[in-house]
Amino acid sequence: VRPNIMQITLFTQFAALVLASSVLPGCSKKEAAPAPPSVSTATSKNNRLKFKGGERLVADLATGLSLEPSELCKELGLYDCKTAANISLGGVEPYLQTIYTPVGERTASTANAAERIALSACHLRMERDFAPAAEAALFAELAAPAPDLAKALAVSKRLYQKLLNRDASPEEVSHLTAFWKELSAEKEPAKAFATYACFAVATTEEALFF
Amino acid sequence: MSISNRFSRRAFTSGASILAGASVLGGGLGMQRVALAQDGKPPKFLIVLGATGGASLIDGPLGIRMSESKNASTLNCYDDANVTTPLGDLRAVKQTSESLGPIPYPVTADQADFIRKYGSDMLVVPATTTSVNHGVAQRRSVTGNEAWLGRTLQELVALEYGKSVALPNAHLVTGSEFTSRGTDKSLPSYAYGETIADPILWPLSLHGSKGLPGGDRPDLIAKARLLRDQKLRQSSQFSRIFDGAPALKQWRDLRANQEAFEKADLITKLMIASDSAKYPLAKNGLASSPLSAKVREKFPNFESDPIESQAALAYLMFTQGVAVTATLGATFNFVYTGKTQKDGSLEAGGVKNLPIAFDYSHTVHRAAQAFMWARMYQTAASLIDLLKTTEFAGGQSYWDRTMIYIATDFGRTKVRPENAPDFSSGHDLNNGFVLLSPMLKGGKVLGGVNPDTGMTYGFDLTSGVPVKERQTSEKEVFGGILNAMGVSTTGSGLPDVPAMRKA
Repeated sequence: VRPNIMQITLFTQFAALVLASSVLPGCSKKEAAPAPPSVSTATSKNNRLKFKGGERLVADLATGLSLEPSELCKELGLYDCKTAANISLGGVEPYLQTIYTPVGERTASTANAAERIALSACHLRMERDFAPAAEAALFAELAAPAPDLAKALAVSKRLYQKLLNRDASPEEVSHLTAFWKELSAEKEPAKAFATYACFAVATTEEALFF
Repeated sequence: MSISNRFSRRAFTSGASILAGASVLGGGLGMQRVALAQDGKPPKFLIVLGATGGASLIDGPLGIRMSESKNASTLNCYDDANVTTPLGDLRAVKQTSESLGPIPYPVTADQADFIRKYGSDMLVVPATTTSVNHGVAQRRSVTGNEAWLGRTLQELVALEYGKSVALPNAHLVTGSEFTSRGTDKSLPSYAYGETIADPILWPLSLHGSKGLPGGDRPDLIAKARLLRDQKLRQSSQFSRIFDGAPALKQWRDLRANQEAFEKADLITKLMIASDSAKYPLAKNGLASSPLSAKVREKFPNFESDPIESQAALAYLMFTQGVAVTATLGATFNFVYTGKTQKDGSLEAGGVKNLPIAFDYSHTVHRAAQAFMWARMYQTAASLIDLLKTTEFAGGQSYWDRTMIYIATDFGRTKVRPENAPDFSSGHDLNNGFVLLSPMLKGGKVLGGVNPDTGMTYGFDLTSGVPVKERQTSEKEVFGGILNAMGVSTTGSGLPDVPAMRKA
């Protein structure tokens, strides 16, 4: 049974306060200024989280970035990264290594192995989208002439939709657009933003666990 | 190389946000943030070399000459000329076989050179074990039949000497119970083994970006990680909802240490391979370990022979201060090149490992034992040569502080069909173990073997005098190894075995 991850948002409480302030006699606007809306999130009681592992990670990244799983990442340009780090990523290899069940818990190299795949995949997507006459799958606005904040914002929203299958919250979008500004001094800020913003989202806890 | 070059857990964790007095986090991660104590105890190193399948001592250092046995025609003993005594009472068997049974591959092996060169550090401990099931027996060979709360030798060495190194307990052989995890769950997590399935490519995953497209901007990687870990995470409902999940706690701990791995440049320091078409390192902004040429000279077949790549990485992990114990060994897989010669036999050097390793003795006992003992001795010799020529500190070499434990499942049955030159053997509890280290009273056998039955016998644990009526137990071997390694066994109930260790 998946844990209940329903967010408990106290908008109703906020709405009630607003309503009360507007209808109660004798309450001037100055006196009744409501506190900022507070949003709280219930925490899981069961906390049953699992690392996606190499197979799911690659499948999700390939889907999100419109790439073939086999082309996401090559160690030394030759060896599939997921295969190279198969055991670190929770895989099994019964034929040659006689490992029939996952090691059990993540190894010291798991975080790096996951990042390597994500970085390489994001960079490849960026290169494809920025290629001349390319039909961009993810970074179209940034690949077009004169990328700006508004375009970075559009890409930021798309990153969440493609990689996490949900809309980004305003707060998350603002973090990414701040990152865009942070990279403004780069020689090629659009390419840098595409690659490393993608990397950041693709390696969030939400992207790596289920 | 001096001791100061070693990669300490203190240095390793210095870049991470260590909680004051943080104790070990739960779980079995090989690397954790731990509270550091400077006990000032320089490490000693243990290599468990798994002689998988049953390395029979009477086909090795306890070989029996036909002239010594009343039952020579039906006992597994050899022509007198094929059993030599190169050093002390350590014996060597010389064998030639035209094939490995149905495998068209000739075998010629003489153990004498190894004994002559390394015998002074070699101690043979005959013993009678408690299981003829491969997995169970392998596990018991590293736990002393669960002698101390089910802890393994490797865990205890890591516990004693590995507190300040990054990955103290390296499990380099896979699919073996020599690397099984002990049953004592109370140990700090750094003591448990880190599985390293591919010694050649594994170092790549000790860095999050180096050598990859997009990895040439570590500054931007750092900014992206900061964005992710400090901003996006705080804004993520997912991360808030599961904030208390053990899986996320472990993950965050791993991430906190990532950067330190990268700063230590282990992706380079542990890279065995040289720049080549197969491993185009330079093209991808990578490089070999500065020690790799020396390592490759001793392990020239590291690309095709799993045990060579394991041993090569073990050496680098020790000398770079990353590990204090490494478990390597033969697997049950048949490893061969497949290239044949004109006469149909497999090319010279074309067989790296036998199917089911020493257990191929079920098919051809003597040829299998000869091939596999040669493999074990060759691996040990190369490791000793490397460790001997690498300074630890103060004029001491790494070898001065290292033990190689040739662990095996069990022995093999002692009899043969009348005068059969080769034959099939089964599993036998009676056998023993081979140990190599300057920390041991080497150059001898503790106990002996009955030349009429092939059965080994034990010794007085204190004086080392052979006792024909006594069998050494797994627990006693386990205790003796820990004694010699200087591992504290206070409160363990393990026997003291002064006969094994140097004073």
